[in-house]
Order: sequence, then structure tokens, then C-alpha cells
Amino acid sequence: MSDILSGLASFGSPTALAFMVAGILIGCIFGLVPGLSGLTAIALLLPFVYGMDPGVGLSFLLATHAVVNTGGSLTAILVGIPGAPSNTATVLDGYPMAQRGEGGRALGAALAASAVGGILGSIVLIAMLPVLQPIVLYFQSPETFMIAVLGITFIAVLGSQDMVKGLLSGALGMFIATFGYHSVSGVPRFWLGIDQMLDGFPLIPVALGLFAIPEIVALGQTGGGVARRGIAETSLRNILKGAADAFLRMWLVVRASLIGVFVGLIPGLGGETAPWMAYAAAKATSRKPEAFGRGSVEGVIAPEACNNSKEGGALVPTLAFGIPGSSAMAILIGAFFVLGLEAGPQFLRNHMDIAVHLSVTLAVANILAAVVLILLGPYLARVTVVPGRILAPLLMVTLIVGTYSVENNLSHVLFLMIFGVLGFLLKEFNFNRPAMLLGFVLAPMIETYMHIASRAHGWTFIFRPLPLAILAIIVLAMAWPAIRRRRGRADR
Amino acid sequence: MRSYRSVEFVFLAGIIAVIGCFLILGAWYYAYNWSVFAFPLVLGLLAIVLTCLRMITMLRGGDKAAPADTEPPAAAVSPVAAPSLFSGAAWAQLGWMLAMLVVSYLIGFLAGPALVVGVYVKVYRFGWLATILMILGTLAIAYLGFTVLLQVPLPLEPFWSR
Repeated sequence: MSDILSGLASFGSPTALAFMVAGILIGCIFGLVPGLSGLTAIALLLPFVYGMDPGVGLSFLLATHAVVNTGGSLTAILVGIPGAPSNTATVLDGYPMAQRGEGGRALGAALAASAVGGILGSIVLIAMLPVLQPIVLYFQSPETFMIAVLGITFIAVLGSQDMVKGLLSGALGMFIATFGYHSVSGVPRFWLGIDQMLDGFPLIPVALGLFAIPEIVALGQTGGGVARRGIAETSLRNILKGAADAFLRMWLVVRASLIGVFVGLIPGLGGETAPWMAYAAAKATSRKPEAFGRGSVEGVIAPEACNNSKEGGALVPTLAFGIPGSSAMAILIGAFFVLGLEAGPQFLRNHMDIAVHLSVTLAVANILAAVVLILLGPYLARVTVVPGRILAPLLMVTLIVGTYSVENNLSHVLFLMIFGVLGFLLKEFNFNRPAMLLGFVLAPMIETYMHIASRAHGWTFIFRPLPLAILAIIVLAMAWPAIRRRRGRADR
Repeated sequence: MRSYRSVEFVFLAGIIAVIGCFLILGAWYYAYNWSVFAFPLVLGLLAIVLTCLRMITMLRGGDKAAPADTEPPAAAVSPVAAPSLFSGAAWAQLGWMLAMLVVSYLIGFLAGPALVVGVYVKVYRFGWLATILMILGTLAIAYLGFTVLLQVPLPLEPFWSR
């Protein structure tokens, strides 16, 4: 109870509220610009949270990421281009509605569904955390070690179409993390006689290089603004009418939200596919399935509710076990370390107040984002007419100066460039960058807990009941692509 | 497409070479003891084996992998160009970032980014008004955003002269 009150007090502090509002505005703008995803937003903001209060810093990042999909719905409906990848399903019905003069209605429905979806996601999160807290108390070093390995396996195997590439990405990230001082003996590894390498590669340049630089490169290749087809007009009256549409179809909103939460709960399942599942379910149960794809308001409500609710689901394994529920959550786990927190079972054990703070942030951010976009959306949408080559250099400045500013260290900017080129190549060859980052983040923890577990329990620690069960899940996860292929062949 | 795969093949070979070099350094040059070296050795060997598996798959022509679904499929649905390995425009963007780093080192973290952004905007044929606004925007980000608001002691003078 004291944790809950402490979390609420932390959420209500003026600093936390100010950063959350700033995060919402930044997230909405990132959502509006196609090509700038929630992943990029979190990665770019990582240097800014350095030195912040952990609750405030994480809440700032989460608020930014949570509302990217809400901002993206506006571009999807008014411009016909999904602002974020998970808004793709919204285009199918949102844009036809805008073309026949119902842009405001579609927008209102999307924003209301997003807000309700976000709230439902955070309710599930708040309900599950107290249930999971006593469970994680049983976790000792062997279990923590196995859980960290499970996290990388999940995102590497289930998050990729190609298991080998996924596992290779994770292994590469872990190998890179072994550079610098060994956490147990203090011996520097692979430092090449360069002082700046003694501490290994810092997290922020690695995360920014892998995620922000490839996106900025893509944006800089765009000559003109992304909104080439013009922005549909809206009115406040129509927006409110659309919001009423969503509330009148509350069962659809709840059902789509639950699909989102479920998909979010399963690490690596692919958050981008969840809105399509909600869309398909809505079409299958609609009284007018033939209207889908031609401008059905239900086709807007379902994916948008699902979009925002999946973040609540994705936060459950992220906060409770340190297993990221989505790609963005992998970067959020990186932020834990930047802020001096340890991800994994220890987090929920020691920082339940921060978990509560984050849960409330998720709900409130979704509501505020909807309000902000109802009032300012049509004006903010004009950011999509700004050419990519205007936005890209400004992001470059933020990236380079931001990376330097973390420790006032020029070598970090050099590392940024090295990992930027690596990130560009990995993206080009469709490697699993989130798995690489997660491997990089969790490797020191895995090595330390493996050492502690082997000293405390001997190498047979793997045969303790819980580690053995986790090992079975890892094997099942690795076998899953083959099972899926076999089932697909059998179906044909 | 074939040359694209060749480049990926070279990239994978590069991964093996780099990891192999570090493992050789660790084993013979640094001569780490087992407790220090075991973890990176296992990871390095695992990465090499997986890279070899990937290369064998490519050689057998069984490479039908779709893009990783953790990657945002924005390129498929938006006019934002996907970075292309053979696109000069993509490498040019990386070049601009490198230029910003070098120029910032030479003339400081205030004038450097502003200068590069100004040249960037002019090279891409934007008007003078856009150029001036962009330079002012850059100065605002670097000075007002970082130095004044976040109180980061950015090197405003040439970095090498410190």
C-alpha cells in the first residue's frame, strides 16, 4: 500500500507532471511524422534522462512512447499515411472516411478509442503487478540469470522471421557488451590500449546508433514533405461525433483492447501485428463487414484501441521480469540502467513505487494525448508537410549534441557514428536490432548472475525446478518457428 | 539483388573476422585467465557459428527471410525512403553526420552544427530564408536547449584548443 501511495505521490510531483506533458507533446509529434517511430523517440530522448530521478525519467520516456500511436492515427486518417507502423490498419478505413468528408469523425473515433485502450492497458498492468510481486520474491540468482537469457531468446526468436539472424543479433549484442572492465574481476577486456574503451561501449551511443541514425538517414533521403496528398479538413463538432461513435461501440473497444493487451503480454510476438488482429476480429464480428476498407468507423476504432492497450500488456513482462514485451521496451530496459536501476525481478521487488508511477503515467498520458490532439491535431498535422531534409539535420544536431552532453565526452560521439553505420547495415540486412540492444543491455547482468549462481549453487543450478522450467520455455521458443512451419505445411 | 546478397555475405564475413580477431587477442595477446575469458569466448564462438549458418543458408539459396517483424515496416507504407545500401543519398546522410562531428570538433559545438546545417540546407536547394531559420533553429537547440536549459557545458570554443 505504501508503494502505491509513494508511486502516486511521485506521479503527482510538478517535475514528473511537467516531463510527462513534455513527453506527450514530443510523442505526438514523433507519431505524426511517418518514419519517426516510438523506438526512435525513446532512443533520441535517452541522453536527456541521464541524471534524472528514475521515476520521472522513465515516466518521461514512457509517456513519449505511449502516445506515438495516438499521434500516428492523425496522419493515417488525415493524410492517408500511417504515422507509426502500427497505424497501418487505421489507414484502410480512416483515409476513405476523410476523403468523403468524415475526417473529423474518424479522428474523434480513433482518439477516443486510443484513450480508452490505453486506460484498459494500464488497468491490466496495475492489476497484474501486485499479483506478480510475490512471485518474483522467490527469484534468486539462478532464476534471474535464466530469466535474462529467456528475455533475449524471446525477442531474438519470436521477434524475427529468421531465427538465426535473431539469435545472431542477440549474441552480437552480448559479445559487444563484454568489452571493458569485467564486472567480477575488474580486468579490462579487449580495450586495445585505448583509455576510452576501459569502461566498454556506453549504452546511449549504442542505442542511438542502432535505432536513431538509420531512421534519420531514411528521413534525410526524403526530398519533399510526406503529406503529398494534402491534409483533410476537420471540425471540432465532427471530432466529438466520432468520439461518441467510439463510446457507443464500447464492447468493440474493450474487445480490441484485450487483444492488444494479450499480444503485448507475450514478448516478441510483434506489436505491429496486433492492430491487424483487432481489425480482423472487428470485421469478423461486424454487422456490416462489407463496409470495412471503404470507410467503416469500426475499422478505425478496433486497431486504434488495440494500438494503445498493447503498451500496458508489454509493460507487464518488462517490469516484472525484465523481458521486453516489445522492441521499444528493450530500449526502455536500457533506460533502467542509464537511471541506475536494475531490470528484472529485482526491479519489482525494490521499486514497486516506480512501477505504479509508470502505470498511472500510461493511463494519464493516453487521455491527455487524446485531448491535445482533439484541440491541436489539425494544426500539428501540418508538420507532415515539412520536408524530411529539414527535419533530418535538426535531429542530427540533437543526436550529436545530446550524445556528447551525457558525459561531455567526444569519444561517445565517435562510438555513436560507429554504431550508426552498424545500425544502418543491420537494418538494411533485416537483422533484429532490438535483440542486439537487449543482448548488449542484459549481458553484464547475465554474466554476474551466472557467476553468483555457479558459486552459490554449483553448475547444477540449472537443474533447480524454476531454472529448468525456464530452460524448457527457451527450448520451446527456439523450436517454435519449426513448429509453426510444420503446422503451416500441414494446413496447406 | 544478387550484388545485394554479396554485400551481406561480405558483411557476415566481416563479423566473423572482427570477432575472431578479438578472440585471438584475448587468448594470446592479453592471455586472459579462464574466468575472465570464458563468457566472451562462448558468445564469440556462438556468434561465429550462427554467422556461418547464415552464410551457408545464403549459399544454398534458402534465404527467403522476410523483414524482421520487430522492424517498423514504415518504408512499405509511407513515402519516407528506405535507406538503401547502394543509394548515394543514404550514405550522404551518414557523411553529413560525420561532417557535423568533425566541424564541431574544429570550431566548437555551437558554430559547428550551425555551419553544417546551413550548408546542408543550401546543398539541398532550400532558399535563404529556410537556411537562416534552420541555422537559428540549430543555435536554439544547441545553446538554449542544451547550454541554458539543461546546463550542459558544451565546448563553444574549438574543441582542439582546450
